[in-house]
Amino acid sequence: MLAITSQTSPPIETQKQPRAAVLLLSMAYAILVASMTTPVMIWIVILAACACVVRISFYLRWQTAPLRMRTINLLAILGALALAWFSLSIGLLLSMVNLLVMACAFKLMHIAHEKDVKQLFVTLLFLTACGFIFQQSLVYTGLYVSVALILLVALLQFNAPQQSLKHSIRYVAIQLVQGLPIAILLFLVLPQLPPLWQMPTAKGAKTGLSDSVTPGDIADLSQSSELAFRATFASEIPSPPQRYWRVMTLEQFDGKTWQISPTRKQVNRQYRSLNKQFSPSLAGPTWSYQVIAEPSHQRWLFGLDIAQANSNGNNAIIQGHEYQLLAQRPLVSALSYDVESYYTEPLNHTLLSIDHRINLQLPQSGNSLTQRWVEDKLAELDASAHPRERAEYILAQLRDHFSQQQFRYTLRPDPMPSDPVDRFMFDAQAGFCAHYASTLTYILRLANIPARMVTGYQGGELQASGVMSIYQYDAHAWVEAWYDERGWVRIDPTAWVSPDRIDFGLEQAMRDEGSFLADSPLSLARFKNVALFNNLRLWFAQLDYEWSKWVLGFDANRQDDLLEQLFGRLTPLKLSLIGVTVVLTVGLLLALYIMPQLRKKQGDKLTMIYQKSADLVVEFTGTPRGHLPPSHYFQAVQDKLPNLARTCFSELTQRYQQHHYARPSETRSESEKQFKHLHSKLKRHLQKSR
Amino acid sequence: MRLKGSIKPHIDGFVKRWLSQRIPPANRHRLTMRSIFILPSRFGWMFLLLCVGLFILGTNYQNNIMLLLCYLLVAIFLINLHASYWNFARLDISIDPIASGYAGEQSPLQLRIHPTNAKQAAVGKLQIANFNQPQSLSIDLIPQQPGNPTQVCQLSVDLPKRGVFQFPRITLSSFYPLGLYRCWTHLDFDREIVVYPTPLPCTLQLHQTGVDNEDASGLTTVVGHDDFAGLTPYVVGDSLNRIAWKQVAKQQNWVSKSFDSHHAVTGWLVLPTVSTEQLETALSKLAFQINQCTREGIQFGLLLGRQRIAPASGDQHRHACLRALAEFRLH
Amino acid sequence: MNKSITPVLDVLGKTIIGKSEQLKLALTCLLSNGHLLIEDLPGMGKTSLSHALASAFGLAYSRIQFTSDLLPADMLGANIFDVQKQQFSFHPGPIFNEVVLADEINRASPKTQSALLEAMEERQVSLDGTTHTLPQPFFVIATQNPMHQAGTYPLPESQLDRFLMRITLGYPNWEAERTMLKRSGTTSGVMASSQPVSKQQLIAWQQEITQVHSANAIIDYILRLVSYSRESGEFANPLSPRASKAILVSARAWAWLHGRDHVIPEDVQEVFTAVAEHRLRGSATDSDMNSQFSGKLMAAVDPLAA
Repeated sequence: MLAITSQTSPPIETQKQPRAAVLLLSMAYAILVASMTTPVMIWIVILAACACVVRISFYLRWQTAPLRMRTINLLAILGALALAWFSLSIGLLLSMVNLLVMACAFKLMHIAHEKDVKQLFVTLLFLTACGFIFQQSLVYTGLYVSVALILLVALLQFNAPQQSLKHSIRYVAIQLVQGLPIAILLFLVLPQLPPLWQMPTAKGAKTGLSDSVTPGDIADLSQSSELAFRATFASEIPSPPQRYWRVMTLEQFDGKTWQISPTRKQVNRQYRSLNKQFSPSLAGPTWSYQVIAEPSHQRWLFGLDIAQANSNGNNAIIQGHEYQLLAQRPLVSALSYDVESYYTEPLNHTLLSIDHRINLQLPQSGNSLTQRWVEDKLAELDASAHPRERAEYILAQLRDHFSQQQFRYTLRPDPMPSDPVDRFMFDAQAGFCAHYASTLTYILRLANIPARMVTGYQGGELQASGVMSIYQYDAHAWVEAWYDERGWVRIDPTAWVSPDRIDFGLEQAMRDEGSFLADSPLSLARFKNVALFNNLRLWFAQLDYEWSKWVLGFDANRQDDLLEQLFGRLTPLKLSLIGVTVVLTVGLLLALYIMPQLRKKQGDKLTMIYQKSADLVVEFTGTPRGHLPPSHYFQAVQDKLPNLARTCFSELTQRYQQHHYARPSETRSESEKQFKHLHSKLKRHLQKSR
Repeated sequence: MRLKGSIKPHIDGFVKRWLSQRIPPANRHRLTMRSIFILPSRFGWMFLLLCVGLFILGTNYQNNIMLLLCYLLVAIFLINLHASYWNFARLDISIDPIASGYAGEQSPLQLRIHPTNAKQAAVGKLQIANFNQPQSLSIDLIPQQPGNPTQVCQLSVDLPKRGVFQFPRITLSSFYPLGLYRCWTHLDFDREIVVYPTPLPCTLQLHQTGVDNEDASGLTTVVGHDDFAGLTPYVVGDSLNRIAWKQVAKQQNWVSKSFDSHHAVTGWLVLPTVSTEQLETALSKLAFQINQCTREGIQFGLLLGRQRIAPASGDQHRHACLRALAEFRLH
Repeated sequence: MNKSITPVLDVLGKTIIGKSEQLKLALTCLLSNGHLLIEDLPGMGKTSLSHALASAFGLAYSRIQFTSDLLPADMLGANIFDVQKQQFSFHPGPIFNEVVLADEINRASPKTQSALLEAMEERQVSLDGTTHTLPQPFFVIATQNPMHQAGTYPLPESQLDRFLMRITLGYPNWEAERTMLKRSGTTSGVMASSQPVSKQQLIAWQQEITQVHSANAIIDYILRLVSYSRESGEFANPLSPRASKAILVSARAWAWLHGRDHVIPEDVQEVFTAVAEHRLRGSATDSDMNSQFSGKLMAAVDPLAA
């Protein structure tokens, strides 16, 4: 019946709109969108920018009237339609991310209630987490954690607008730091589950080699300094010319483009349906190493020569009949696996008949000059010659041709839209690995020798402690041919023209041309010859490696290893004990965090000691202190105290008075010690005379 | 539905009894374990749902950083349980005595928030609502600065009708720091509110019912001798004592000092015998007359049925009389 | 006890017998440059106390008997036309003295009362546009008879606040009254002749007192007392900021009087009743002489930090 009302006529909440909080939210949003320009479509980025501008103009009071709901609804419908159209081409995952970004933009334009702020916060936090689907490196992790921090600060500002921004940031940062140990503990101990269901992967987010090579197109892969994978060698490390990291085998040529053979795909399907795994019996010396593959959103993995791999995580690895490694599911997160590479073992474990059938395929027409060139050369040779002789003859002829015509290795070849092999052989006479590999494979096939193009990476930068980093610019293509019992033999025509490319890497090979990473002028990899920058780059690469190894590469196997290392063999009893311990530890940590707050409550130490002593005296004499000041209380009880205790309490009273009320002269710690001493003395005396 | 309706009062009664035992009325409340209730807010549940979503996403994408972020958010959720509780537990609230007011008006209410010690005080938005009522108003506590020990919140209380009331139980709640939890308490302040009848303009009716009642009106100002009122031109017959000799010396006009006094006027305000329907009107009229008399400095007494307040003047007397009106025959 | 002040107390103690507590409070009031209100029945020695205080420091003394027809000009003085010089000249009233006893202050009309209080506060008198500064030190002792209030004008709360302290003398005890009676007739002569300290000394002491240290703990204690009076709702007239200042100032003087260079909570408690009681009580007419309000307040607040 009596109701409390606010005295000021408008409710207080409407007076102070959470402006700072909303501005912080839009700031976090802007950073998020800026970091996700690859997965987010450009028109949605523009929409997001508009939303931020709207928010800023509200904040600066350029605009005061809220946007009309009808306008926003109309925009939202249009946006949804456009997105629905685009979603056909970009796939489910990217559509969802784009949808989230778009929804946030509209929400940001129209914040009417407190509810809206909270919804926006939750959506943005989810979006931040989604950022980790696309980027997991240390730098991006730092970025997204700061975005999360901004979001939490915004939330705090929303709930306590009077608090200064500095204080809010400190408060949230402390909470994050306090939360980190708990999070790490949970991370180490909670079971690493296999995926619950298959998630859509992003088409546009794929990185790495593409599954078709068109040498006539312009080169773009060699220009990226992004990390492809890392290998940590436990054994001897292969020398640079041996570092041929195999990724995929392209066996189908249509005159321009190399791609995976459809026949091969069919054969593989048949093998799979018969559940026939390719498991050659291998022997001989091996290189053993662990690979941590960066999330590429593809299934291809990396291995040297004949590689046998064991996955550490929930993603199994399949050995292909083309000697390549394939993950069961696309790599949406880093995958680490252990590899044994049998580098002396010949590649002759597959069925010759199938390989021959596939790898003698030729395009119907085109490249007639090359065809004539091969016919001319073959005519000089005995028709009944052994395939090996034929192959070696052709190779020698081609090598001569390359050197006579002064073929060059370049990252900026002329485009060759029609008959690319002819154009390359007789016109341009300059190109990069794909041109050389493509030409050689084609020529070998023309000479009736089974040959195929293999793409992968060549080289790798060795860092300290046997860690090798392989970057996207190490991508390479070479040739394999089968002309004797050794099976598939690797031939690298690029090495004929540019031995530097193989021995020292792309950068050395391109020194004169200056086209190495020409598109990314700020990449640290471009400044390898500046010592400071190179050290910085290497140090950072090392840090990133540790990050990948310990955080991104942490998986169920490693978790088991860790727990077993700590607690011995894991029995159910032990596991439940560990669970209880974790819960207790978390509780203990939480208690630890609030301890300082509880401590602060108690106020001045000396007053506490005095009060404790006074309590003793009260107990002894039965005279309550009430609210008497120290010396009055002493006068009230002095007759009831035994002699020794009286002197003690008198001194305590005087000292307390001196310390608490007189001009400060004594240092505090000293008197605290004396106080404690006096207190215990008093206690003793009182106990004695009881 | 009907069953629910009949049970509800019982439940309410039980809750009230339980609350009055758990949080007994006091003038000042320092929140403790006994008086604080805490549960995740709706937003808190939403936040947990987000964590579950992140866990599923992180597991399905085998994304360790997403899992780490998820666990970090869970940890923050746990830490906030403490943070909100301890922030709320730092509240130390009292309300000032509530000034009496007239029915239909509002009375200002001062809510004081004291710091628990020199360094710490509760911060963040604080929602204040009447017990069991959804609408609330929020105040934003200013982070403590030195030299600003207590914070005063100006609120007001609606006074719907005449009477003497106990200040109702109020609910305070806070979502600080991140809104993940709602901390609340139902406080009962031991304050009384006296609501006077609304004054109804009417003519002043002073009765001389006291011991001697010869003069009926008694509303005259009598020339007295206590208070110097000013100078008047000298009229032959004025006492020579009263001549202002100093002024005479200066101005050479004869003036005399005049004095007056208000003490002479006394009277009684009497509640007429009326039916119950007209009682409120009569009380309202009396309230008006009490104010009128006080304004004019008239000494008056009050007769309310058998109750009798002796004549006096001044603000204290006025309040005593108005309070008698407020308490009179409450139903 | 401060050694330099003991002679003064000794001299005063000879005049006013058996009232050492009240004497110390009165002296504290004088030392902290405030004004004193004495509430007592007639004949309790109010006049002799004030006279003794004045003569102990060799201060000019005047006594104004307040009556209902006393006019402000009678007290402050007036501009009188000087026939010889053909112009007005100011004739200062009895207030232009260093110690002024305003006897039975509640008998005068509110106009006269407020004229006195204004002069007390401002330490100057404004008359016809000219300002006349009052002497330094300036110490007003007002007395008020709590009984026989009929036809009087009790000081309103706002005016009571201007007196630093209010004390009551009360009846002397058996021993003291016997001593007094034995000596009667011979006293005044003895006292007037002996003047232990000078006026300059008094001013120096007043300066010294402002240097007495008051720790934060003391300030907090005073603040807690004051805010409790405001917030608990148990006091009709809560203490004003002027009151909290008064408490601190007189606690300092009390501490100095007892030979300390810092204030302790005991000082605050000992002066508290004298400083705060009349402010808390207000102009309530049923004035009993005890210390019910201030006692209640002191009992509610712990001098040690909460």
